[in-house]
Amino acid sequence: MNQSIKDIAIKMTNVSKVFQTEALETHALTDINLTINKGDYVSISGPSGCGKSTLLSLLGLLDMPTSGQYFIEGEDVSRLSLDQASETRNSKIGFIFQSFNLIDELSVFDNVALPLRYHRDKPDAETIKKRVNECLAQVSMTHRTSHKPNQLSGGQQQRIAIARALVTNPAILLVDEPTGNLDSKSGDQVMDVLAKLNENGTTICMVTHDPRYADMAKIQLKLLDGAILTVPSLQIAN
Amino acid sequence: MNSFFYSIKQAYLSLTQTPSFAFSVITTMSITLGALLCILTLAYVMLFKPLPYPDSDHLVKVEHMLTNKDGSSSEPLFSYPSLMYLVENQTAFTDVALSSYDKQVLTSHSSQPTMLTTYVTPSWFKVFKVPMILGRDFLTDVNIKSDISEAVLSFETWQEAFNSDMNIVGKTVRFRDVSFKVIGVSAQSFIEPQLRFYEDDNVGFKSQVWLTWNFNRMSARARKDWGSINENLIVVAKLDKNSSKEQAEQQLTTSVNNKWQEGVASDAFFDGWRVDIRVTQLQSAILSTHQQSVLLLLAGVFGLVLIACSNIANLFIARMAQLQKSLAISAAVGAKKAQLFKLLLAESSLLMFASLVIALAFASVGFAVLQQNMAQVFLRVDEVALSTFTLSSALFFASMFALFFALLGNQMINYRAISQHLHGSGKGVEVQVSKKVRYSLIVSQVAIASVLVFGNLSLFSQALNVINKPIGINTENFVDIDFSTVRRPTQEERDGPVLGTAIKNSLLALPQVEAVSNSQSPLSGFYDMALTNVVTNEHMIPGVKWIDEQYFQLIDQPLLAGDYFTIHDIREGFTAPEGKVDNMVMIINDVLAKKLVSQGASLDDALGMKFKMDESGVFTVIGIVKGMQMPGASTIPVRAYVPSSVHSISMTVKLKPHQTLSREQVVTAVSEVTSLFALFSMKDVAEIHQQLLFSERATAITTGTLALLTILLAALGLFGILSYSTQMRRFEIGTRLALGAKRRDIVKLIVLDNLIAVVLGIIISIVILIGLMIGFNEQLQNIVNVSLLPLFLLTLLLISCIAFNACYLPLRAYINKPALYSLRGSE
Ligand SMILES: Nc1ncnc2c1ncn2[C@@H]1O[C@H](COP(=O)(O)OP(=O)(O)O)[C@@H](O)[C@H]1O
Ligand SMILES: [Mg+2]
Repeated sequence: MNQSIKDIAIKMTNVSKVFQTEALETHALTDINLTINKGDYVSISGPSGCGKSTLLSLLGLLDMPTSGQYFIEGEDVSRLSLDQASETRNSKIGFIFQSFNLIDELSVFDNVALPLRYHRDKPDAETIKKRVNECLAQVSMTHRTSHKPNQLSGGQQQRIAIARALVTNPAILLVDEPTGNLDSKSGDQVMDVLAKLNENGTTICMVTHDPRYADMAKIQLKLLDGAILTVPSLQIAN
Repeated sequence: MNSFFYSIKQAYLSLTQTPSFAFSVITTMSITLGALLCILTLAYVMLFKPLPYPDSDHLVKVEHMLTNKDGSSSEPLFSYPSLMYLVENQTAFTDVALSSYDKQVLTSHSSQPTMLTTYVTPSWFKVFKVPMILGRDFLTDVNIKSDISEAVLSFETWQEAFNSDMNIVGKTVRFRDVSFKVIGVSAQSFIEPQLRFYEDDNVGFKSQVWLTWNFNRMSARARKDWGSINENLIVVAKLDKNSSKEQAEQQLTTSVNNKWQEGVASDAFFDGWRVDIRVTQLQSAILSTHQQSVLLLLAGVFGLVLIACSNIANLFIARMAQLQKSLAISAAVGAKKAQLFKLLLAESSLLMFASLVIALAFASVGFAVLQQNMAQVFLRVDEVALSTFTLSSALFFASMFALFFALLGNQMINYRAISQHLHGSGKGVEVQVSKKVRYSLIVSQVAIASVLVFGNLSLFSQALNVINKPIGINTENFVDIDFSTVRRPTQEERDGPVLGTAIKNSLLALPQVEAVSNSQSPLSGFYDMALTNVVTNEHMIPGVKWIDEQYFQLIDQPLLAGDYFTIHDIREGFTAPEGKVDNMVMIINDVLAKKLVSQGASLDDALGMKFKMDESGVFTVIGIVKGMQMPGASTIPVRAYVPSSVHSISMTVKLKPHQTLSREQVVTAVSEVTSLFALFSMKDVAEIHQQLLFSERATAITTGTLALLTILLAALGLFGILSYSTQMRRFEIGTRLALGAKRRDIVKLIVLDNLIAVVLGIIISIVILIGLMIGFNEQLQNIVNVSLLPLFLLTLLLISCIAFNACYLPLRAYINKPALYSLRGSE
């Protein structure tokens, strides 16, 4: 199966990450080759310490690889300055964290609007309002927009965080243990929201160690000691 | 008690784990507490401590006010006959002590030192209960007009000038040409009262020798003249237990006034005048002029304490965050709230008492520095020492601080978070300091620091202005040289050529010397003398100086009207015979001229006026010079200049550019001419200039130091709070970075967030400053002016810069690394 460049959301070639700590070198990731196509739903799982979070932060430009190349929608993002990385994160990547990372001082609305305020197009208030409400509708949280996050339940907070990740129309959603801080019922709800988003075309890459949730993804990667174990159907992309 | 020691031990062990915390707290606290104790003790001694004399609350200063027919009063000065009448006829006091100060050469001594001599009545020693180590003091049962010439040496004089001679009593000392028999030596422990109320530059005066009152240098004429007043007659009395200040004032006013009216009856000039006697507490009289500086210092130090407290509060808050886990474990094994509090109290007490010990050492150093450098600024500074007062206030403050910080720490413990921590649920157990607390810390830091820095900078710049103010004459390259007579002149010397002129010529012959004026330096040699206008009989007391014909040209003091002296005006004799000379000349300064002529008239009108000066004779004004500012003075004083005598042995030498003159060169030059004179003192005029600026330099140093300390503490404090609050917001910053915020956005966020607190602090400081200006309008009048505005803006700029850097620097740790580093640990 051959794919055109246009369909590739992200692509990593020979990416390695080495952490240098005092006397010790930790090879967190070694020679990762990974391609995620638009519309894919990828899960990454593996034992604790195998490099899942490290991979996700490289994918999210939160950290820089030690070597290797990384493209988002065809654009080389392997060597970006801090501010360039910020700009790319803002427009191309949506983050969903295990602990939600909502800002307590801001209302639900302002939390969701936050990425737009850092957007290079500087959208006007009307545009922001429209877009925020659209995204809140996608996660069924249109009520309570003026609440503060800590007045909401964990499941609701995570749905707000998903709305925030969607607000700039990113190329990919990066999700790190989205249900880790949730009870199973709220966890299921959040997973339903993600599944629905993917059905509607959103590209998702999710880290989880819960095999039940990993199974919900179309493509399941297993990471062990910093290397990808099984890459069904993807290797062909190279 | 056991559990107390256990807590202390625990606290000690826990502090050794965080040496940087303990170090920061102890340094900040010991510096601050040291400064506080030092200034507090100074303030106590100067404002509250009773004078160290028996019945000190009964000691009063007695003053004599002359009021003319228009109701305007003279300086509170006695005329000699009024004084003697009061002493002999009063009943309100149990003792009256008179003193008159002088400076004269001890001619009986081989090195001919100039000494500070004080003529006193016998009761002076009784009133101040002067302790003696040798001999006795003056006998109180003799008449105050006693003609037995006796001297009491001070301990220092006895040691330094007489080598602690154990047989000094009974020996004779000679001042000028009067001999006094030494009857005793005062003890080292005696603290002399600072009674020279009218001479600011003589604060810290210590008598070296006390002499029998009746030998004081008041002239025979002045002793009989009810109309002439003298600033060198000082009266202290002890109130009778049965009479009050007011009663004494009334009684004395009536009796002295009656007598005075008789005394001046023959002089039509005094028609309608009256005398009032004023009686004030000695303590307040001595200290009144210096209270303000002490209060200012005290205010400055309290500001420092506030800043230090807020810094330490901040350190404690951060410390609580660190302790949370071990507190949680203590709670898990059953520690109650009260026990946890005890642990905190033990820790803060340990820190405060360690600081206290160091602070006491700092304070002792401070006392020594004050005594060596501030004797001229703060009276009674000699009495400042580690005392019960210092120790008890030290204990008080240390305990209060310990309690305060323990309570603060206790407030910070989030007991609910602790229990959640124990049950393994919930988000982090970080101690979160509420935004309100953080903001109020910033607001108070900024407000106090702005007020303090501005206050100190104002005083600092004012002192600098005075120091750098041109005094209106040339003092560059001048040396002031004084000679003293080594022995009585021989008959040949008396009859031979004039030695003053000979010395002058021998100095002129030196290759370095450009010119010599037979006068004292432009910065010294003014004597307050009473002048009486021959026509109007009006009195005035200008500073009079004896100069030769070259003086004004030499120092470039400009002539405004009339003429300079000529060589013919210089007197040939030693002194003019009493009453015989009535055609001498005088030059006055414009300030005096302005007082002499009617308002709006030309100063030239003063030319030709005639003044009588005691027995020196009558002087006609022939010239008016531009007034000269004395270094450190705020106004130009009234001055009169009269011709010196050819015999004068005071010289001002002008050196050629880049030349120096050594003592040896002068001694050699003079010894070739005569052996009658020895070099007495030789000083660069620039050095005299510096000495006169002493109190301004002291002010500049003190306020400069306080301003620097304030800036330092405020910077540390702001940095502490802001870096803590940045640390608190680390995950938020990480999240914002993850969502696409650029570095600029984050800096803007933090700066704007704290801007409100900084602006609020600045507004509060403006309100405080305006409040101070309104409240202390009178005292601040000569300090507050428009030129302070740029200084205030400078202060704000400085504080804002510090605040900005305190915002920005801690942020660098987060925004200059990949966003991951800020986010890590958030999961
Ligand atoms: N900043 C770092 N410095 C040093 N080692 C790190 C750092 N971050 C992660 N590691 C190491 O890299 C490896 C992978 O970590 P991580 O990606 O967090 O694993 P996972 O998320 O799968 O549990 C681990 O051995 C971890 O200790
Ligand atoms: Mg992980």
